[in-house]
Amino acid sequence: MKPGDAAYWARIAILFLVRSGRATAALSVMVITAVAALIFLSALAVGVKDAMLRNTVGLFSGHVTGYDLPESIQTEDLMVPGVETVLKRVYLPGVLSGGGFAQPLVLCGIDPVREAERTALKKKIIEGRYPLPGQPEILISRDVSETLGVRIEDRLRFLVQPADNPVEFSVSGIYHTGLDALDREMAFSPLKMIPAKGIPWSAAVFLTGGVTVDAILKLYREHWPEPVRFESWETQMPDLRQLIDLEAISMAIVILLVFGVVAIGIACSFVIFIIRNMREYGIMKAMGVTTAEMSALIVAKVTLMNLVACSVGLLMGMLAVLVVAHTGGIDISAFTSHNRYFAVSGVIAPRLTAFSLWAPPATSLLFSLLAAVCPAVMVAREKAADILRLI
Amino acid sequence: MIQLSHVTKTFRSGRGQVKAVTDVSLSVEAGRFAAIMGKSGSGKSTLLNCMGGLELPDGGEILCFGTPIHRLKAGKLSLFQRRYLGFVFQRGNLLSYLTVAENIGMPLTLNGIVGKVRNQRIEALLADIDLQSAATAMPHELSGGETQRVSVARAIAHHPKLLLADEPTANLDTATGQRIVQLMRDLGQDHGCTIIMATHDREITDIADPIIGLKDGQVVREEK
Repeated sequence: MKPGDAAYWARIAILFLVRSGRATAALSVMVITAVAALIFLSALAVGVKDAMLRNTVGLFSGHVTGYDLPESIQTEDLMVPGVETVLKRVYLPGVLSGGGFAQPLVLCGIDPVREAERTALKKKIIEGRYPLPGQPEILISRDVSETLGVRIEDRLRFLVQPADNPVEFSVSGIYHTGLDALDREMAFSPLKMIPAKGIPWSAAVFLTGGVTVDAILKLYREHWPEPVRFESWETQMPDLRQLIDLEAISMAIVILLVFGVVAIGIACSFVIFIIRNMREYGIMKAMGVTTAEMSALIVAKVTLMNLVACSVGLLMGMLAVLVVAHTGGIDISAFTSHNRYFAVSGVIAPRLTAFSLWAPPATSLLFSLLAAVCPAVMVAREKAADILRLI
Repeated sequence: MIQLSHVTKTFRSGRGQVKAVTDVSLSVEAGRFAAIMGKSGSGKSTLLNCMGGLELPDGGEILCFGTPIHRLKAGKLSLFQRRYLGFVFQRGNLLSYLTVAENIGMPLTLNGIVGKVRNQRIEALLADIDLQSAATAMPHELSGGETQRVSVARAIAHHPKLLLADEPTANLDTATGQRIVQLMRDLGQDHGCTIIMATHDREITDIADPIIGLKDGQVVREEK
């Protein structure tokens, strides 16, 4: 036999693992549980980030916002691959009055049908309904309704310039989002009902899953240079970007700590597992098995057990993520009702990423192999007689 | 020939330094069945371990068929041990996760004896130790005597030049012990193997030659 014959030692390792049934099973269960739990935890962290982004972007703004778009550009022009929907909006600053009071705000002209389909603002209506297409109706926030002292079906007037004729609206609904930008200075009415002719429009661009904002921005900016502007949600909402980063850092620290604890647990278990059989290494050493061969045997044992246990753990973790994601996710609405980043829904759906799939098994294998170094060095340094005498 | 010149081995323990072997010089000619006799703690096992390279002496020289094994580097010592030495331990020391046949087969595989030749040799050894039916048995299923028979078969499977046995009969009844010694002698001599056995069993004096008496780590008598 050539020293270091991997196939032979792999076979011996398999025999050892199979015939050390209970010890192998106990250690495997630990690795399986650890890997599955870490995969689920990682997927949950991704899910939290997704939920915050989905809530904030999906409420109204979209992933990309286009400003100062001339009438020559149509919404269809912006429908490039990776874009799911483009909503046309026109922002008109003016003064809204009624009930004896007046409120300066921005009236946003929208396509009520498409907005209701794609954005979640409809879900934030606390009284009444969305404006109907082609009707002189307006959707106002709770703050505005309280400032003006108006209710559903009350009449309001919107004035762009003092010299202009006011446009009259009937209040169709009242909403509350928890976001200052939407609650204090905005109102919505059908696009065709506002005096917006010749005014540049804005686009709310919603992307399909997995498409990066930067790629779409680059494409748009190449096609439509200044003065047309396109900005990502990150530029528009730096607070959300920072919060997501903060959340990512917090989760990374938590996951790192959990990974660390789990990894040390796995490492210690493997050390015990190997040292428990130290006498057998002493016997083999007496038979003339070289240090390299014994190290190969230890590595083969650790690697084979990890491969099997991590595969099972991987499947279990994936299964847990898929089951939770497909049964409605984890509803934390009770804890997010006053959190503006969960304005639409407090449901978190864990999502698997490449990182959440490879990191836990890789951690397990890495720390198990590191754990194997200690007994391997011990076997290498000690004389066979010492091992047989000590253990 | 096994030659030891002024071999010394000292252990450090909680009770200070313990001289296990002190200035031992002896020789055993090839093909002999030698016995190292002495009471418990006389240094028999340490001396045997030094002869087999399981222990490194603090001083002196050990020539094993001309090879100074005390000077061999770890890798070369392992290759020397696997090729030329066989060990029988007091407790048998079979690998617990290998069957009887796999235990006997390991030194064969280590020495490149594989396939049909390996299997035939395992079968022949199992027949020699009268354990053909136990080929697939696990070590924990064997009695003490059976374990030692397998241990002897494993130690001589690769036809070593030197068989070192450390009190292989200590945990056995007299009849079983005699059978083990006889087995070692028969199988060893079949292959021209030199046998050195550490024991405190007086029965061995009938068949061993030479008999090396050890007391407090020193040779007190050598009978031929």
